[in-house]
Amino acid sequence: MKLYFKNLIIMVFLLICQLSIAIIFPDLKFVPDFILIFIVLKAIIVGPRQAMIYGLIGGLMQDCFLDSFIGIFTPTKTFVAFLAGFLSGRFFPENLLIPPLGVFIATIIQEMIYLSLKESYLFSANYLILVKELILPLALINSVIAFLVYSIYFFWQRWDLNG
Amino acid sequence: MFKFNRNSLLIFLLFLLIISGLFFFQLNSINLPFLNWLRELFYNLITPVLNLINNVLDKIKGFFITLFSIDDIQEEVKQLRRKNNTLERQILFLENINRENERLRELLNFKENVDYQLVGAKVIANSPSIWEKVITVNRGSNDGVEKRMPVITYRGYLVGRVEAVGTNSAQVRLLTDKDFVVGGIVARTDSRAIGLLHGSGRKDQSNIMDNIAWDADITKGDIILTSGLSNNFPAGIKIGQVQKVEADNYGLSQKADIGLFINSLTLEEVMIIKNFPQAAEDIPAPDSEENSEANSGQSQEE
Repeated sequence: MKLYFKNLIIMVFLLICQLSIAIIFPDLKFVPDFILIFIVLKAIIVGPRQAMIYGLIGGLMQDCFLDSFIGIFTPTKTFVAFLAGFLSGRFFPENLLIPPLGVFIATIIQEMIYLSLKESYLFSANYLILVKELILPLALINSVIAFLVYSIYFFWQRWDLNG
Repeated sequence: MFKFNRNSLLIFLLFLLIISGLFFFQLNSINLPFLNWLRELFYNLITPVLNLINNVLDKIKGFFITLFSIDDIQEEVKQLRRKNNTLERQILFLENINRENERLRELLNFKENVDYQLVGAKVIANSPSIWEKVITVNRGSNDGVEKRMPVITYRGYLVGRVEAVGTNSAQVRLLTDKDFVVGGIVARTDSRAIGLLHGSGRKDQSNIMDNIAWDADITKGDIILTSGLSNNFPAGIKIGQVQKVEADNYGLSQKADIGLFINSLTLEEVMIIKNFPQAAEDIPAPDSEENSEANSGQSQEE
């Protein structure tokens, strides 16, 4: 319970960062999805069962600031967390490129599900342009952040083990 | 290592089923009071933190701006004082004109212009998604803000509409959002072409105004205002400028690319029109012809 509470606080902090970053840097074109990065990394580290709960909470929190309590992000983020959980324990922790790759793919899946569930985009959007101009750059930004975060986590863990 | 077996699949399916059920309720606008209460609780807990962060950032920014540009500020103060004196003179002059205008209106039995009650608000948060263009402002139900109130900039450009209200904050759906639709009219005396303006969903792209009559007089450079044909927005608020006009629906109508005025600004402060629907109701009812036109416009805009 204590662990869930700690992670909840982290997620609230990440949401505040996600909401405020465009206020601090108004010219920013893409706002990184910090909550998604956290959920995917968590899924890779602890597996899908816990990650699904974090996905659900993260999605609910994000939807709160988009006018509905259970919006599109709640099921989407839960599903993405479940998928990301399959990577758990299937690679050596030294392989620093797998988690960013997971975040990259998770971003693409999340945004594609979002577009297919959003009525205003579903039939009128040019998916090729949206993927090229919005989804891929966002996925790239998210994966770069994920790489930095995972590297810090990995080296911190190693340093912690060495005492 | 996580092992995928029948149990995991069952848990996942159950989890997804519950969420999908709740999502279905939400999609069909079925009100679940507990969920609304939970949402409001979370929303009202987070927004004061956002407000605090914003205030702290503003103070830090203000401190450094003052520190590094003290000479510029002094010069600006001098200029503003000069400008203030000029404006005070102009106000006196305009007050005379206003009195004369009121007197003449009374003589001609013209209906009164409506003064909108405005409340200033600061943008404290942006959208957490690239697809939704929503901002959060630091005024809520405590300040008299309600759903569907129009929002404008200090320069009078249309920003959007209040979508959700918390105790001390509100969410505003921007004009650029893909779900946003507003009736527009060409601001030219010899052309009053009307159409529907749709959000593009992107800040770097212009909005599309379609359903313009095939023979309507609309050209590049025309200013587009809110038509006010519906009761959603007051008439005459500046929206943008026509950038390109082309035929639509195989020549049966026209559509235009509209460069929005708000795209050239950084939205830091906005104004909410608090009394628009009430004020619109206060206006003496126009004759039946105008009324039917307004009704048809409303159904079009919705």
